[in-house]
Amino acid sequence: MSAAPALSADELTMAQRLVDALSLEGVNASAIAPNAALFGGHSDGLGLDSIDALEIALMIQQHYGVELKSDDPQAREAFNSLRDLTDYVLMRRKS
Amino acid sequence: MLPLLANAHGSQTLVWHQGRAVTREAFINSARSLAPLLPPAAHVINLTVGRLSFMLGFAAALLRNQITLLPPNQTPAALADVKQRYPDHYVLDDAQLQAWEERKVATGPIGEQSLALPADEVRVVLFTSGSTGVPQAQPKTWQVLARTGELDAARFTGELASRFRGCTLNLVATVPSQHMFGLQTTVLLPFWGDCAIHDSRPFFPADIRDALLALPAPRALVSTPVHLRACLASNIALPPVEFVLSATAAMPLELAHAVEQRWQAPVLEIYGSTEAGTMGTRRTTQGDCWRLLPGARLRSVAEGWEYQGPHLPGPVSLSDRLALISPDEFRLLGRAADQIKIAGKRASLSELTHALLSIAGVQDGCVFQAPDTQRTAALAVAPHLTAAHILDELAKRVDAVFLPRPLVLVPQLPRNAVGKLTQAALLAALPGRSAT
Repeated sequence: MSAAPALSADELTMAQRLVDALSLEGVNASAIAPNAALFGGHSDGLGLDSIDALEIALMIQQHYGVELKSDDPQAREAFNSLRDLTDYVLMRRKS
Repeated sequence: MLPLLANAHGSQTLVWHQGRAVTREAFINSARSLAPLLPPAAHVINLTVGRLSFMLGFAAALLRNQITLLPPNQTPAALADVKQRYPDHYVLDDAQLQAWEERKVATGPIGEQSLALPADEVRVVLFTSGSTGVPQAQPKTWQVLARTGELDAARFTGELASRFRGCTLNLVATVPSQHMFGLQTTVLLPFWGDCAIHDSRPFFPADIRDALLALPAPRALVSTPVHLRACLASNIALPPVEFVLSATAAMPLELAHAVEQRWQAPVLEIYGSTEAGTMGTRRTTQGDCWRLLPGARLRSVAEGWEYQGPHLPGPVSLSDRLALISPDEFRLLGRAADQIKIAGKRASLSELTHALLSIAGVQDGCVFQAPDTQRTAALAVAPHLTAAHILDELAKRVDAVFLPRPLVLVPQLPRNAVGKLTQAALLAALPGRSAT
Protein backbone atom coordinates (compact mmCIF):
# COMPACT_ATOMS: atom_id res chain seq x y z
CA MET A 1 0.00 0.00 0.00
CA SER A 2 1.46 3.34 -1.07
CA ALA A 3 1.26 6.59 0.87
CA ALA A 4 -2.17 6.43 2.45
CA PRO A 5 -4.66 8.86 0.90
CA ALA A 6 -6.69 10.63 3.54
CA LEU A 7 -9.69 8.72 4.89
CA SER A 8 -12.87 10.56 5.76
CA ALA A 9 -13.93 10.37 9.40
CA ASP A 10 -16.61 7.81 8.52
CA GLU A 11 -14.12 5.72 6.56
CA LEU A 12 -11.66 5.79 9.42
CA THR A 13 -14.35 4.64 11.85
CA MET A 14 -15.31 1.84 9.48
CA ALA A 15 -11.65 0.88 9.01
CA GLN A 16 -11.11 0.66 12.76
CA ARG A 17 -14.26 -1.47 13.16
CA LEU A 18 -13.03 -3.79 10.40
CA VAL A 19 -9.66 -4.17 12.06
CA ASP A 20 -11.35 -4.93 15.39
CA ALA A 21 -14.02 -7.26 14.01
CA LEU A 22 -11.55 -9.27 11.94
CA SER A 23 -8.67 -9.22 14.44
CA LEU A 24 -6.36 -7.93 11.72
CA GLU A 25 -3.26 -7.87 13.84
CA GLY A 26 -0.59 -5.59 12.51
CA VAL A 27 -2.97 -3.61 10.28
CA ASN A 28 -3.19 0.08 11.05
CA ALA A 29 -6.74 1.26 10.31
CA SER A 30 -5.62 4.66 9.06
CA ALA A 31 -3.24 2.98 6.60
CA ILE A 32 -5.96 1.07 4.74
CA ALA A 33 -6.24 2.58 1.26
CA PRO A 34 -9.89 3.60 0.72
CA ASN A 35 -10.07 2.13 -2.78
CA ALA A 36 -7.96 -0.99 -2.21
CA ALA A 37 -9.65 -4.36 -2.68
CA LEU A 38 -10.90 -5.81 0.61
CA PHE A 39 -10.95 -9.35 -0.77
CA GLY A 40 -8.30 -11.05 -2.86
CA GLY A 41 -4.72 -9.82 -3.09
CA HIS A 42 -2.50 -9.09 -0.10
CA SER A 43 -0.03 -6.80 -1.89
CA ASP A 44 -2.72 -4.39 -3.01
CA GLY A 45 -5.47 -5.08 -0.49
CA LEU A 46 -6.51 -6.82 2.70
CA GLY A 47 -6.87 -10.37 1.35
CA LEU A 48 -10.11 -11.12 3.19
CA ASP A 49 -12.19 -14.26 2.61
CA SER A 50 -15.74 -15.53 3.02
CA ILE A 51 -15.51 -16.08 6.76
CA ASP A 52 -14.52 -12.43 7.04
CA ALA A 53 -17.54 -11.43 4.96
CA LEU A 54 -19.83 -12.95 7.60
CA GLU A 55 -17.95 -11.11 10.35
CA ILE A 56 -18.22 -7.86 8.43
CA ALA A 57 -21.98 -8.34 7.95
CA LEU A 58 -22.37 -8.87 11.68
CA MET A 59 -20.30 -5.79 12.53
CA ILE A 60 -22.31 -3.69 10.05
CA GLN A 61 -25.56 -4.86 11.56
CA GLN A 62 -24.44 -4.25 15.12
CA HIS A 63 -22.88 -0.83 14.58
CA TYR A 64 -25.03 0.60 11.80
CA GLY A 65 -28.26 -1.42 11.95
CA VAL A 66 -27.91 -2.29 8.26
CA GLU A 67 -28.69 -5.83 7.10
CA LEU A 68 -26.58 -7.20 4.23
CA LYS A 69 -28.19 -9.51 1.68
CA SER A 70 -26.45 -11.19 -1.21
CA ASP A 71 -29.35 -10.79 -3.62
CA ASP A 72 -28.77 -7.02 -3.50
CA PRO A 73 -26.23 -6.24 -6.27
CA GLN A 74 -25.28 -3.00 -4.51
CA ALA A 75 -24.42 -4.96 -1.38
CA ARG A 76 -22.07 -7.11 -3.41
CA GLU A 77 -20.35 -4.04 -4.80
CA ALA A 78 -20.08 -2.63 -1.31
CA PHE A 79 -17.54 -5.33 -0.56
CA ASN A 80 -15.18 -3.97 -3.21
CA SER A 81 -13.39 -1.50 -0.97
CA LEU A 82 -13.47 0.39 2.29
CA ARG A 83 -14.90 3.45 0.51
CA ASP A 84 -17.67 1.47 -1.22
CA LEU A 85 -18.57 -0.28 2.01
CA THR A 86 -18.73 2.97 3.96
CA ASP A 87 -20.81 4.72 1.27
CA TYR A 88 -23.23 1.81 1.00
CA VAL A 89 -23.74 1.47 4.74
CA LEU A 90 -24.24 5.20 5.32
CA MET A 91 -26.66 5.42 2.42
CA ARG A 92 -28.68 2.44 3.65
CA ARG A 93 -28.69 3.72 7.21
CA LYS A 94 -30.28 6.99 6.16
CA SER A 95 -32.91 5.47 3.91
CA MET B 1 -28.92 -50.66 -12.92
CA LEU B 2 -30.31 -48.08 -10.52
CA PRO B 3 -32.77 -45.27 -11.17
CA LEU B 4 -31.72 -41.61 -11.16
CA LEU B 5 -33.95 -40.84 -8.24
CA ALA B 6 -36.70 -42.32 -6.12
CA ASN B 7 -40.30 -41.70 -7.09
CA ALA B 8 -39.59 -40.20 -10.53
CA HIS B 9 -43.28 -39.85 -11.40
CA GLY B 10 -44.05 -38.05 -8.20
CA SER B 11 -45.89 -34.78 -7.96
CA GLN B 12 -43.96 -33.90 -4.80
CA THR B 13 -41.74 -30.85 -4.94
CA LEU B 14 -38.04 -31.48 -5.55
CA VAL B 15 -36.79 -27.87 -5.82
CA TRP B 16 -38.24 -24.50 -4.85
CA HIS B 17 -37.16 -22.18 -7.63
CA GLN B 18 -38.13 -18.49 -7.67
CA GLY B 19 -41.23 -19.09 -5.60
CA ARG B 20 -42.33 -21.98 -7.81
CA ALA B 21 -42.44 -25.67 -6.90
CA VAL B 22 -40.60 -27.89 -9.40
CA THR B 23 -42.03 -31.40 -9.05
CA ARG B 24 -39.98 -34.55 -9.35
CA GLU B 25 -41.65 -35.37 -12.63
CA ALA B 26 -41.09 -31.89 -14.07
CA PHE B 27 -37.47 -32.04 -13.01
CA ILE B 28 -36.92 -35.38 -14.71
CA ASN B 29 -38.48 -34.09 -17.89
CA SER B 30 -36.22 -31.03 -17.84
CA ALA B 31 -33.14 -33.16 -17.29
CA ARG B 32 -34.14 -35.50 -20.11
CA SER B 33 -34.63 -32.63 -22.53
CA LEU B 34 -31.39 -31.04 -21.46
CA ALA B 35 -29.29 -34.19 -21.85
CA PRO B 36 -29.09 -34.19 -25.68
CA LEU B 37 -27.89 -30.57 -25.66
CA LEU B 38 -24.80 -31.27 -23.58
CA PRO B 39 -21.50 -31.21 -25.51
CA PRO B 40 -20.07 -34.65 -26.30
CA ALA B 41 -17.31 -34.92 -23.71
CA ALA B 42 -16.44 -37.58 -21.18
CA HIS B 43 -16.43 -35.15 -18.24
CA VAL B 44 -18.32 -32.10 -17.06
CA ILE B 45 -16.92 -29.67 -14.51
CA ASN B 46 -20.10 -28.53 -12.77
CA LEU B 47 -19.53 -25.10 -11.18
CA THR B 48 -23.17 -24.04 -10.96
CA VAL B 49 -24.35 -22.27 -7.81
CA GLY B 50 -28.14 -22.50 -8.07
CA ARG B 51 -29.42 -25.83 -6.74
CA LEU B 52 -31.78 -26.38 -9.67
CA SER B 53 -28.99 -25.61 -12.17
CA PHE B 54 -26.64 -27.95 -10.37
CA MET B 55 -29.18 -30.77 -10.16
CA LEU B 56 -30.22 -30.40 -13.80
CA GLY B 57 -26.63 -30.35 -15.05
CA PHE B 58 -25.81 -33.29 -12.81
CA ALA B 59 -28.85 -35.35 -13.82
CA ALA B 60 -28.45 -34.59 -17.53
CA ALA B 61 -24.79 -35.64 -17.36
CA LEU B 62 -25.81 -38.88 -15.61
CA LEU B 63 -28.34 -39.60 -18.34
CA ARG B 64 -25.61 -39.01 -20.94
CA ASN B 65 -23.17 -41.27 -19.04
CA GLN B 66 -20.83 -38.33 -18.49
CA ILE B 67 -18.71 -38.06 -15.35
CA THR B 68 -19.27 -34.99 -13.18
CA LEU B 69 -16.06 -33.48 -11.79
CA LEU B 70 -16.35 -31.41 -8.62
CA PRO B 71 -13.18 -29.36 -8.01
CA PRO B 72 -12.23 -29.07 -4.34
CA ASN B 73 -12.34 -25.27 -4.51
CA GLN B 74 -12.49 -22.69 -7.21
CA THR B 75 -9.04 -21.18 -6.97
CA PRO B 76 -7.45 -20.80 -10.42
CA ALA B 77 -4.86 -23.45 -9.52
CA ALA B 78 -7.42 -26.07 -8.43
CA LEU B 79 -9.54 -25.52 -11.52
CA ALA B 80 -6.53 -25.60 -13.84
CA ASP B 81 -5.36 -28.82 -12.21
CA VAL B 82 -8.70 -30.58 -12.75
CA LYS B 83 -8.92 -29.32 -16.35
CA GLN B 84 -5.45 -30.57 -17.10
CA ARG B 85 -6.01 -33.98 -15.54
CA TYR B 86 -9.29 -34.51 -17.43
CA PRO B 87 -8.68 -32.87 -20.82
CA ASP B 88 -11.90 -34.22 -22.35
CA HIS B 89 -14.26 -31.94 -20.47
CA TYR B 90 -16.59 -28.97 -20.69
CA VAL B 91 -17.38 -26.46 -17.95
CA LEU B 92 -20.94 -25.91 -16.81
CA ASP B 93 -21.96 -22.70 -15.03
CA ASP B 94 -25.35 -21.15 -14.30
CA ALA B 95 -25.32 -18.93 -17.41
CA GLN B 96 -24.45 -21.82 -19.72
CA LEU B 97 -27.15 -23.99 -18.23
CA GLN B 98 -29.68 -21.19 -18.56
CA ALA B 99 -28.82 -20.83 -22.26
CA TRP B 100 -29.36 -24.55 -22.89
CA GLU B 101 -32.56 -24.59 -20.86
CA GLU B 102 -34.05 -22.10 -23.31
CA ARG B 103 -33.24 -24.34 -26.28
CA LYS B 104 -34.48 -27.62 -24.92
CA VAL B 105 -37.41 -29.43 -26.49
CA ALA B 106 -40.15 -31.55 -24.95
CA THR B 107 -39.53 -35.26 -24.43
CA GLY B 108 -41.80 -38.28 -24.46
CA PRO B 109 -43.21 -39.95 -21.34
CA ILE B 110 -40.78 -41.14 -18.67
CA GLY B 111 -40.06 -44.85 -19.04
CA GLU B 112 -38.28 -47.01 -16.50
CA GLN B 113 -35.61 -47.65 -19.11
CA SER B 114 -34.88 -43.98 -19.69
CA LEU B 115 -33.92 -43.44 -16.05
CA ALA B 116 -31.89 -46.56 -15.36
CA LEU B 117 -28.22 -45.82 -14.72
CA PRO B 118 -25.38 -48.35 -14.64
CA ALA B 119 -24.73 -48.92 -10.94
CA ASP B 120 -21.04 -49.81 -11.02
CA GLU B 121 -19.57 -47.17 -13.29
CA VAL B 122 -17.91 -44.05 -11.91
CA ARG B 123 -20.26 -41.09 -12.30
CA VAL B 124 -18.76 -38.44 -10.04
CA VAL B 125 -15.22 -37.53 -9.07
CA LEU B 126 -14.78 -35.53 -5.88
CA PHE B 127 -11.40 -34.49 -4.56
CA THR B 128 -9.99 -34.52 -1.08
CA SER B 129 -9.00 -30.92 -0.58
CA GLY B 130 -5.29 -31.41 -0.37
CA SER B 131 -4.04 -27.98 0.57
CA THR B 132 -1.15 -28.24 -1.84
CA GLY B 133 0.20 -30.43 -4.51
CA VAL B 134 -2.19 -32.79 -6.19
CA PRO B 135 -5.67 -33.26 -4.70
CA GLN B 136 -6.61 -36.93 -4.47
CA ALA B 137 -9.41 -37.92 -6.83
CA GLN B 138 -12.28 -39.76 -5.12
CA PRO B 139 -14.32 -41.55 -7.78
CA LYS B 140 -17.89 -42.54 -6.88
CA THR B 141 -20.15 -44.99 -8.66
CA TRP B 142 -23.86 -44.30 -8.93
CA GLN B 143 -24.45 -47.24 -6.61
CA VAL B 144 -22.40 -45.60 -3.84
CA LEU B 145 -24.04 -42.21 -4.35
CA ALA B 146 -27.58 -43.50 -4.50
CA ARG B 147 -27.09 -45.66 -1.40
CA THR B 148 -25.49 -42.71 0.40
CA GLY B 149 -28.63 -40.71 -0.35
CA GLU B 150 -30.87 -43.53 0.92
CA LEU B 151 -28.89 -43.98 4.13
CA ASP B 152 -28.86 -40.23 4.84
CA ALA B 153 -32.57 -40.05 4.12
CA ALA B 154 -33.28 -42.91 6.51
CA ARG B 155 -31.33 -41.19 9.26
CA PHE B 156 -32.33 -37.58 8.77
CA THR B 157 -35.87 -37.68 7.52
CA GLY B 158 -36.93 -41.26 8.28
CA GLU B 159 -36.09 -41.19 11.99
CA LEU B 160 -37.50 -37.71 12.47
CA ALA B 161 -40.55 -38.25 10.27
CA SER B 162 -42.89 -38.29 13.26
CA ARG B 163 -42.19 -34.56 13.61
CA PHE B 164 -43.51 -33.85 10.11
CA ARG B 165 -45.54 -36.91 9.22
CA GLY B 166 -46.59 -37.24 5.63
CA CYS B 167 -45.05 -33.97 4.50
CA THR B 168 -42.14 -33.31 2.19
CA LEU B 169 -39.36 -31.72 4.21
CA ASN B 170 -38.14 -28.42 2.74
CA LEU B 171 -34.42 -27.75 3.02
CA VAL B 172 -32.30 -24.63 2.90
CA ALA B 173 -28.55 -25.28 2.62
CA THR B 174 -25.68 -22.82 2.93
CA VAL B 175 -23.05 -25.22 1.66
CA PRO B 176 -21.85 -25.53 -1.96
CA SER B 177 -22.95 -28.66 -3.84
CA GLN B 178 -19.37 -29.29 -4.96
CA HIS B 179 -18.10 -31.15 -1.92
CA MET B 180 -19.29 -34.40 -0.38
CA PHE B 181 -21.42 -32.96 2.44
CA GLY B 182 -22.96 -30.49 0.01
CA LEU B 183 -23.61 -33.09 -2.68
CA GLN B 184 -25.20 -35.40 -0.12
CA THR B 185 -27.51 -32.83 1.40
CA THR B 186 -28.39 -30.65 -1.61
CA VAL B 187 -28.72 -33.36 -4.28
CA LEU B 188 -28.69 -36.94 -2.98
CA LEU B 189 -31.00 -36.33 0.00
CA PRO B 190 -33.69 -34.70 -2.19
CA PHE B 191 -33.22 -37.40 -4.87
CA TRP B 192 -33.56 -40.30 -2.42
CA GLY B 193 -35.53 -38.91 0.50
CA ASP B 194 -38.84 -37.14 0.77
CA CYS B 195 -37.17 -33.72 0.62
CA ALA B 196 -37.20 -30.59 -1.48
CA ILE B 197 -34.50 -27.95 -1.54
CA HIS B 198 -34.57 -24.18 -1.98
CA ASP B 199 -32.74 -23.06 -5.11
CA SER B 200 -30.52 -20.50 -3.41
CA ARG B 201 -27.24 -20.90 -1.61
CA PRO B 202 -27.78 -18.31 1.14
CA PHE B 203 -24.75 -16.72 2.70
CA PHE B 204 -25.63 -13.90 5.11
CA PRO B 205 -28.02 -14.49 8.02
CA ALA B 206 -30.67 -12.37 6.26
CA ASP B 207 -30.32 -14.59 3.15
CA ILE B 208 -30.90 -17.69 5.27
CA ARG B 209 -33.99 -16.16 6.88
CA ASP B 210 -35.43 -15.10 3.51
CA ALA B 211 -34.85 -18.55 1.98
CA LEU B 212 -36.55 -20.29 4.92
CA LEU B 213 -39.45 -17.83 4.80
CA ALA B 214 -39.94 -18.65 1.12
CA LEU B 215 -40.65 -22.30 1.99
CA PRO B 216 -43.71 -23.90 3.55
CA ALA B 217 -43.28 -25.91 6.77
CA PRO B 218 -41.82 -28.36 7.63
CA ARG B 219 -38.37 -26.87 7.07
CA ALA B 220 -34.81 -27.82 7.98
CA LEU B 221 -31.56 -25.94 7.74
CA VAL B 222 -28.32 -27.51 6.48
CA SER B 223 -25.34 -25.41 7.45
CA THR B 224 -21.98 -25.14 9.16
CA PRO B 225 -20.82 -23.90 12.56
CA VAL B 226 -19.53 -20.70 10.91
CA HIS B 227 -22.94 -19.78 9.47
CA LEU B 228 -24.85 -20.88 12.57
CA ARG B 229 -22.64 -18.74 14.78
CA ALA B 230 -23.25 -15.75 12.49
CA CYS B 231 -27.03 -16.32 12.62
CA LEU B 232 -27.00 -16.47 16.41
CA ALA B 233 -24.80 -13.40 16.78
CA SER B 234 -27.02 -11.39 14.43
CA ASN B 235 -30.08 -12.22 16.54
CA ILE B 236 -32.01 -12.90 13.38
CA ALA B 237 -35.53 -14.34 13.72
CA LEU B 238 -35.94 -17.52 11.69
CA PRO B 239 -39.21 -19.31 10.97
CA PRO B 240 -39.57 -22.66 12.82
CA VAL B 241 -37.27 -25.45 11.63
CA GLU B 242 -37.58 -29.19 12.40
CA PHE B 243 -33.84 -29.63 12.75
CA VAL B 244 -30.49 -28.08 11.94
CA LEU B 245 -27.92 -30.29 10.23
CA SER B 246 -24.28 -29.29 10.51
CA ALA B 247 -21.01 -30.63 9.21
CA THR B 248 -17.65 -29.50 7.77
CA ALA B 249 -16.17 -28.58 11.17
CA ALA B 250 -16.63 -29.73 14.74
CA MET B 251 -19.70 -28.19 16.35
CA PRO B 252 -18.78 -26.60 19.67
CA LEU B 253 -21.12 -27.79 22.44
CA GLU B 254 -22.09 -24.27 23.58
CA LEU B 255 -22.98 -23.32 20.02
CA ALA B 256 -25.20 -26.40 19.68
CA HIS B 257 -26.96 -25.57 22.97
CA ALA B 258 -27.44 -21.94 21.93
CA VAL B 259 -28.86 -22.90 18.53
CA GLU B 260 -31.25 -25.44 20.06
CA GLN B 261 -32.43 -22.93 22.62
CA ARG B 262 -32.92 -20.13 20.11
CA TRP B 263 -34.71 -22.15 17.42
CA GLN B 264 -36.24 -24.93 19.53
CA ALA B 265 -34.94 -27.59 17.15
CA PRO B 266 -32.37 -30.36 17.51
CA VAL B 267 -28.88 -29.76 16.14
CA LEU B 268 -27.69 -32.86 14.31
CA GLU B 269 -24.07 -33.26 13.39
CA ILE B 270 -22.37 -35.44 10.81
CA TYR B 271 -19.01 -37.14 11.13
CA GLY B 272 -17.96 -37.92 7.61
CA SER B 273 -15.37 -37.59 4.89
CA THR B 274 -15.11 -37.25 1.15
CA GLU B 275 -14.02 -40.88 0.92
CA ALA B 276 -16.84 -42.35 2.99
CA GLY B 277 -19.59 -39.73 3.06
CA THR B 278 -21.60 -39.76 6.30
CA MET B 279 -20.11 -42.27 8.76
CA GLY B 280 -21.72 -41.28 12.04
CA THR B 281 -24.26 -38.80 13.32
CA ARG B 282 -25.21 -37.39 16.70
CA ARG B 283 -27.32 -34.82 18.40
CA THR B 284 -24.49 -32.74 19.81
CA THR B 285 -26.29 -31.65 22.99
CA GLN B 286 -27.10 -35.23 23.97
CA GLY B 287 -23.65 -36.68 24.45
CA ASP B 288 -20.38 -37.05 22.65
CA CYS B 289 -21.05 -40.48 21.14
CA TRP B 290 -21.52 -40.86 17.41
CA ARG B 291 -23.95 -43.40 16.02
CA LEU B 292 -22.82 -45.26 12.91
CA LEU B 293 -25.09 -45.54 9.90
CA PRO B 294 -27.11 -48.78 9.85
CA GLY B 295 -24.94 -51.71 8.78
CA ALA B 296 -21.66 -49.79 9.11
CA ARG B 297 -18.77 -51.05 11.22
CA LEU B 298 -15.47 -49.75 12.56
CA ARG B 299 -12.51 -52.07 12.62
CA SER B 300 -9.28 -51.59 14.52
CA VAL B 301 -6.24 -52.09 12.31
CA ALA B 302 -2.52 -51.62 12.85
CA GLU B 303 -2.52 -47.99 11.62
CA GLY B 304 -5.68 -46.96 13.46
CA TRP B 305 -9.27 -47.47 12.37
CA GLU B 306 -11.06 -48.56 9.24
CA TYR B 307 -14.64 -47.68 8.38
CA GLN B 308 -16.71 -50.29 6.55
CA GLY B 309 -19.91 -48.95 5.05
CA PRO B 310 -22.62 -51.29 3.77
CA HIS B 311 -22.65 -49.31 0.51
CA LEU B 312 -18.91 -48.79 -0.01
CA PRO B 313 -16.74 -50.99 -2.23
CA GLY B 314 -13.96 -51.24 0.36
CA PRO B 315 -12.85 -50.11 3.81
CA VAL B 316 -11.86 -46.46 4.36
CA SER B 317 -8.99 -45.80 6.72
CA LEU B 318 -9.42 -42.95 9.19
CA SER B 319 -6.76 -40.55 10.38
CA ASP B 320 -8.69 -39.58 13.52
CA ARG B 321 -8.22 -41.33 16.85
CA LEU B 322 -11.39 -42.92 18.21
CA ALA B 323 -12.78 -45.33 20.77
CA LEU B 324 -15.47 -47.90 20.07
CA ILE B 325 -18.23 -47.76 22.70
CA SER B 326 -20.49 -50.44 21.21
CA PRO B 327 -20.63 -52.08 17.76
CA ASP B 328 -22.42 -49.04 16.36
CA GLU B 329 -21.27 -46.21 18.60
CA PHE B 330 -17.95 -44.47 18.87
CA ARG B 331 -16.31 -41.48 20.49
CA LEU B 332 -13.86 -39.19 18.74
CA LEU B 333 -10.69 -38.84 20.80
CA GLY B 334 -8.92 -36.37 18.59
CA ARG B 335 -8.17 -35.35 15.11
CA ALA B 336 -4.77 -36.33 13.84
CA ALA B 337 -2.60 -33.45 15.05
CA ASP B 338 -1.40 -32.44 11.63
CA GLN B 339 -4.90 -32.21 10.17
CA ILE B 340 -6.81 -28.97 10.29
CA LYS B 341 -10.27 -28.21 9.03
CA ILE B 342 -11.50 -24.72 8.24
CA ALA B 343 -14.84 -23.91 6.63
CA GLY B 344 -15.28 -27.50 5.58
CA LYS B 345 -11.92 -27.77 3.94
CA ARG B 346 -9.25 -30.10 5.19
CA ALA B 347 -5.54 -29.58 4.96
CA SER B 348 -2.47 -30.74 6.72
CA LEU B 349 -0.14 -28.31 8.43
CA SER B 350 2.86 -30.07 6.93
CA GLU B 351 1.44 -29.62 3.43
CA LEU B 352 0.80 -25.95 4.12
CA THR B 353 4.33 -25.57 5.43
CA HIS B 354 5.59 -27.29 2.30
CA ALA B 355 3.66 -24.77 0.17
CA LEU B 356 5.21 -21.89 2.12
CA LEU B 357 8.70 -23.30 1.65
CA SER B 358 8.12 -23.74 -2.09
CA ILE B 359 7.95 -19.95 -2.58
CA ALA B 360 11.13 -18.53 -4.09
CA GLY B 361 12.95 -16.46 -1.46
CA VAL B 362 11.46 -18.20 1.58
CA GLN B 363 14.42 -19.76 3.38
CA ASP B 364 12.62 -21.32 6.30
CA GLY B 365 9.11 -21.30 7.62
CA CYS B 366 6.35 -23.04 9.50
CA VAL B 367 2.55 -22.99 9.35
CA PHE B 368 0.77 -23.86 12.58
CA GLN B 369 -2.57 -23.59 14.34
CA ALA B 370 -3.21 -19.98 15.39
CA PRO B 371 -4.18 -19.39 19.00
CA ASP B 372 -7.84 -18.67 19.89
CA THR B 373 -9.14 -18.85 16.32
CA GLN B 374 -9.80 -21.43 13.65
CA ARG B 375 -7.12 -19.83 11.51
CA THR B 376 -3.56 -20.79 10.79
CA ALA B 377 -0.53 -18.65 11.59
CA ALA B 378 2.94 -18.76 10.08
CA LEU B 379 6.49 -17.71 10.69
CA ALA B 380 8.74 -17.21 7.70
CA VAL B 381 12.40 -16.38 7.15
CA ALA B 382 12.59 -14.42 3.90
CA PRO B 383 14.95 -11.44 4.16
CA HIS B 384 14.13 -10.06 0.69
CA LEU B 385 10.37 -10.54 0.66
CA THR B 386 7.39 -8.80 2.25
CA ALA B 387 4.66 -10.69 4.11
CA ALA B 388 2.13 -9.42 1.55
CA HIS B 389 4.14 -10.88 -1.32
CA ILE B 390 4.46 -14.24 0.42
CA LEU B 391 0.71 -14.33 1.10
CA ASP B 392 -0.07 -13.54 -2.53
CA GLU B 393 2.22 -16.35 -3.66
CA LEU B 394 0.71 -18.70 -1.11
CA ALA B 395 -2.80 -17.74 -2.27
CA LYS B 396 -1.97 -19.22 -5.67
CA ARG B 397 -1.19 -22.54 -4.05
CA VAL B 398 -3.65 -22.97 -1.18
CA ASP B 399 -7.29 -22.19 -0.49
CA ALA B 400 -7.87 -18.73 1.00
CA VAL B 401 -9.22 -20.07 4.29
CA PHE B 402 -5.84 -21.66 5.03
CA LEU B 403 -3.82 -18.51 4.49
CA PRO B 404 -1.95 -17.74 7.70
CA ARG B 405 -3.20 -14.86 9.76
CA PRO B 406 -0.84 -13.51 10.77
CA LEU B 407 2.19 -14.39 8.70
CA VAL B 408 5.16 -12.97 10.56
CA LEU B 409 8.62 -12.45 9.10
CA VAL B 410 11.34 -13.44 11.53
CA PRO B 411 15.15 -13.50 11.32
CA GLN B 412 15.10 -17.18 12.25
CA LEU B 413 12.65 -19.79 13.47
CA PRO B 414 12.58 -20.51 17.22
CA ARG B 415 14.02 -24.00 16.87
CA ASN B 416 15.11 -25.74 20.05
CA ALA B 417 18.43 -27.46 20.67
CA VAL B 418 17.51 -30.46 18.53
CA GLY B 419 16.10 -28.29 15.77
CA LYS B 420 12.45 -28.91 16.64
CA LEU B 421 9.73 -26.28 16.69
CA THR B 422 7.40 -26.53 19.66
CA GLN B 423 3.91 -25.07 19.58
CA ALA B 424 4.82 -22.90 22.59
CA ALA B 425 7.88 -21.43 20.90
CA LEU B 426 5.92 -20.76 17.71
CA LEU B 427 3.14 -19.00 19.61
CA ALA B 428 5.64 -16.94 21.59
CA ALA B 429 7.05 -15.58 18.33
CA LEU B 430 3.70 -14.07 17.30
CA PRO B 431 3.23 -10.33 17.92
CA GLY B 432 1.81 -9.49 21.34
CA ARG B 433 2.56 -12.98 22.60
CA SER B 434 5.97 -12.65 24.17
CA ALA B 435 6.99 -15.68 26.14
CA THR B 436 7.81 -13.66 29.22
